[in-house]
Amino acid sequence: MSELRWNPLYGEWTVTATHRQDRTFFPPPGYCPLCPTQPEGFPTEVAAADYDIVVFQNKFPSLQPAPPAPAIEPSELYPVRPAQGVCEVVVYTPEHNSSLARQPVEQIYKLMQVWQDRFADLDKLDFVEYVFIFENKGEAVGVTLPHPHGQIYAYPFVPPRMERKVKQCRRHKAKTSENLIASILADERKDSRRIVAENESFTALIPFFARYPYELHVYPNHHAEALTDFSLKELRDLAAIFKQILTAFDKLFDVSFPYIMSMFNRPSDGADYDSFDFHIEFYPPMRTETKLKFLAGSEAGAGMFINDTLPEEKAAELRKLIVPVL
Amino acid sequence: MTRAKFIKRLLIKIQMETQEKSIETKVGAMHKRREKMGDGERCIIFYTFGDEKKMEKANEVKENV
Repeated sequence: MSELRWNPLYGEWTVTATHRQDRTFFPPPGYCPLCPTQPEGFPTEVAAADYDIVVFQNKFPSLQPAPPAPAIEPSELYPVRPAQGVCEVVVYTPEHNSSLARQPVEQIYKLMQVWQDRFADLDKLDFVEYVFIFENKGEAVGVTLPHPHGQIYAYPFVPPRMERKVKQCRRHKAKTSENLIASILADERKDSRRIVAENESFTALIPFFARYPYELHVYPNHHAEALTDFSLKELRDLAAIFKQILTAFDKLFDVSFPYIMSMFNRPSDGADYDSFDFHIEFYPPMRTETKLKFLAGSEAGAGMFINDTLPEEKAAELRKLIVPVL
Repeated sequence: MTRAKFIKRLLIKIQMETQEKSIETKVGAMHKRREKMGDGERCIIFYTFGDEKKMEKANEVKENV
């Protein structure tokens, strides 16, 4: 059973997807569904091995292009709609024991092109209003398949956090005639203490308002609303800054650093998003070498994050670990 | 989409096709091959870059779906 149920308390949709309870959970060695199928081996999701990157529709999708009718009747209080959308899995490499951080910058550049292509394709679908590209990495954020991969959800509505961001961007532009991300970037550049890495096209920083100790944002140096606005040179620069920051993350505590990576493109509903700029946010759950930040009472209940660290200090830690990428 | 936005996107597209020849030479052009998965319902896209053999195979079967 799968459907969208309206939450009148928060004014947002929840997806019920009961079939996902049966999804693959830490398969035994040799049975990874994201590895290429081996001759006479068990059939995985990826039947061939002649690829650099592979993308397929999720076997356990929360949203489907042709969803079943909702299994429950709607009411005035509780509107219900089919869970229409697309859920894709992006396998970054055929190598099982690896990570995005350990890929050469050229492979990350290939991934940027694949992400751009997927965004372009999904952005065109009539029933899609928002294309969300993300990666959950590490057991600490609930990953059950360690093979390096990310996901793409194409939603039939603009999700609530994105809606809030768009509203803030529009408000800021109306007030200052400047784009919000451009203002943040200018301010961060002037201060410079929270900047972690930069190149000709992108800047990586821990923002003034970071909610997690190592929350890292990547902003374009010039206005762009979506991945499809970037040239190949800019995608190469994005790959280079990814390589730098992911390597620095891994060096921080000498572990394969867990994180949630969220990519924010403009919505796909055809409205005007001139005041919005493409950006990426990383939310790593580690606050020290041995401690995780949990979303507890204030964060989960009140939506008020408490950061036990100073972004200026954490940015300095990461900056020291940045090495040039050729 | 406004006319200005359309022209901007067109210019970016042209720029994408013409610039950064050195990067392109190293990684090569992107090719995609779309196939049905084992369950006969879902789709899978194999992305390859540059290699001519992979490219030929990609071109042969890219209209499978």
